[in-house]
Amino acid sequence: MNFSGLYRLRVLYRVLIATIGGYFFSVLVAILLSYILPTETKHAIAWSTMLFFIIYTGVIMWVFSVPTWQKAFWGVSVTSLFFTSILVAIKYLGVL
Amino acid sequence: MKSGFRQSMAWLHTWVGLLVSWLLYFIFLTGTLGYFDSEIDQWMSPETPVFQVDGRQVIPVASKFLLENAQKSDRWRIYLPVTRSSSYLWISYQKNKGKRHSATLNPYTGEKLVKRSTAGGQTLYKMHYRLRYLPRKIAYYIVGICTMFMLLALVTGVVVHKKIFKDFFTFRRGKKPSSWLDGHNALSVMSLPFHFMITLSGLLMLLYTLMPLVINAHYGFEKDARTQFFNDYFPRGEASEPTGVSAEMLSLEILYDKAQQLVGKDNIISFSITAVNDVNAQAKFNLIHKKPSDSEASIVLNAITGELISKNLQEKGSKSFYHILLALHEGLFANTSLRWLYFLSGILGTGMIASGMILWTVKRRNKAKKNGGGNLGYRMTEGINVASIIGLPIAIGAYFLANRLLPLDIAERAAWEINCLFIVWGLMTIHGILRAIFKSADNAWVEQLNLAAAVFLLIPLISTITAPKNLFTSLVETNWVFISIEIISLLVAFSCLFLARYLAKLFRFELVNDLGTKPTVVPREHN
Amino acid sequence: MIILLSLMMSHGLVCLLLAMHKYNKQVKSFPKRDKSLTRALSFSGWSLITLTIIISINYFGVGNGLVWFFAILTLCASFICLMFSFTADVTAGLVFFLPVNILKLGLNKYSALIYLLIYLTTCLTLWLM
Repeated sequence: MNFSGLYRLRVLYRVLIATIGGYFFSVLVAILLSYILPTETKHAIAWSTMLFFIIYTGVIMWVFSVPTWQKAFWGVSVTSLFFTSILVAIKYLGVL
Repeated sequence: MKSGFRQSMAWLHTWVGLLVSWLLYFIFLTGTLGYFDSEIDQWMSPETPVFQVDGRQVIPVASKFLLENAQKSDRWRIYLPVTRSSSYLWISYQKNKGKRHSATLNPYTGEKLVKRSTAGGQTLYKMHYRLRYLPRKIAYYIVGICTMFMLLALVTGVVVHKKIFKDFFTFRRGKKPSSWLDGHNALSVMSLPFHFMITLSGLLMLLYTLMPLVINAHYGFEKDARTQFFNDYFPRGEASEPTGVSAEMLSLEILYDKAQQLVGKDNIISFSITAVNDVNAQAKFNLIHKKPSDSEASIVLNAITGELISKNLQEKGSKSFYHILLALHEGLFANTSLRWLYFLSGILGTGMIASGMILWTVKRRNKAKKNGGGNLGYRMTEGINVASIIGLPIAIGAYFLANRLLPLDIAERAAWEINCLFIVWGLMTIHGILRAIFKSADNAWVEQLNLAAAVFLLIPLISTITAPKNLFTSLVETNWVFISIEIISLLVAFSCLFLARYLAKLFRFELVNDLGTKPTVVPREHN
Repeated sequence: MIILLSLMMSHGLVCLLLAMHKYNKQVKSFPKRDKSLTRALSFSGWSLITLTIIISINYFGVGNGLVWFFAILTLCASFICLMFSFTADVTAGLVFFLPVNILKLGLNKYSALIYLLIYLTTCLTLWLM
């Protein structure tokens, strides 16, 4: 196993992307789901909060499985931005 | 990471697992013991008799007590001695949301029962999510993060272990690393349904504490946003407040009979009356959990007229899913035999975590031996492994002993029992780490196993000397709670002793082998 | 009922175990390359396990039934795994003893189905009673 500084740095990047980036991504997906799930609001909130943990697990696994950390970074951040814009559209522009 | 999806998942599994395994081991072990929380409670207050009575018989006793002591209170709660989790008649009363008084009574005579001050099985099992010495919220976050890691370790573990069905029965004995791998796999796969259920529902237990943001997105970030959501989502039926206009309530007997007509005989575990002797008086009856889906089942009656106000026997939608998972986690619905299976699954889970911890060191053991026992990180890991796998059971044994040995009249006795647990665990950790760093963790394994054997052997002995009950009187009375606990501790003691001797022999054999092979290896390196 | 369920589950699991080449090559008395035998074993194994689910749900109700099913699965599977690693032949004997040594049927695809038949009749009798 290569324990050089570069390797450790790459691991650190992935850990940060997975925990922090993955967290924001999953929160955004969960909130989005809570708006579009076809049930009462309170049930939609409950379902999506429960789903948050499943999504988070999936994202973390994805971040550690892609070949380079750059790809993981862009994947998480671009999709997060995309979801944020949809959320803004829903919440403040009243699209739904 | 490594190339390939499965390799990267294996990497993730190894490191995620190692990071939280020590705390997870604690959570799993105390949680598993928690399936017998009430039984441990009974063992820990040996002077107090326990009762199982027909609920209806107890109502006059409760009613008499409340009329004598709690006429001026506006909230009554009555727990009937009808299940394993409530073995006494327990009554509490409260005035104007002030201090709550409670009493534990003999259900036949109404006499107050005196219990020794003990932390009991309740505190032991509450530690598995509440931890100790930490503010509630921080403890919840730590446990939540660990549970999240556990979920991650489970999913990655399944991905890594590709041939789940094909390797279902594989257990190769006597081949070190692969035996540990097979053991770890077998322990995980056999009870995989249990593990997924317990991990996911563990997360759901702390759901809104860990993930409040979805609520905030809808209800805003103000302080009462959460309360507002909870009022919408979990509406409370018992919110009847006294109006100040007094009214004559129906007697408890009549109310209990009316409730029994609606929910069936022997189904009520507890009931509470709010706004006592007021026009608003309501009685809420909680039902015994008999299947996973009735964890929140209750009915509310008008205590003046006896009319049914609301009936909540089955949750719907997301709430039903949520409550069923919580009920599966707690296993309150399980009868004795199912409870034992829960306990066994929990033990398998604990074993899974322990074998994972050992697997990490076993895989690196040969490499470490070649450079004189491994680096500091490896040694620390070995030491902490010993301290948690063997040290924690020793500490729990010490907690049981403390219950019998601490003087009955010291202040804060219950807290000191728990302190004993943590003091012993701390000592074990120091011992394990020091041994691993300065000599070898092998010594720590053998020594701590011997100590564990001694502690668990002492439990029935000390109990015989200090408590009114011992193994023989329990056998005569067929008191299964006491018999089981003491026999299990004897079993643990003997298996620890056996394991200690086995390991000691194994390590000596390894040492001889290493010394024996050295001369043949060294010349070859010179060539 | 719990005992019946555990027995069915154990026999089903042993049947499945013997149907897999990886394990049945460790059993001395197991005939080599008998496709119809392994197929019959795996059929009766899966059917027994399915039968266990159906009966436990029928007896305990959906919620408790599923919990019981998984609990018994865990218990029996651990037990059989451990037993197989110590004595593969005795474990195989759990299934083979009755058709080979008592009923003198020998080892073929019909003898593999014998437990399925026995349990089906037991369950039917219980159900009719």
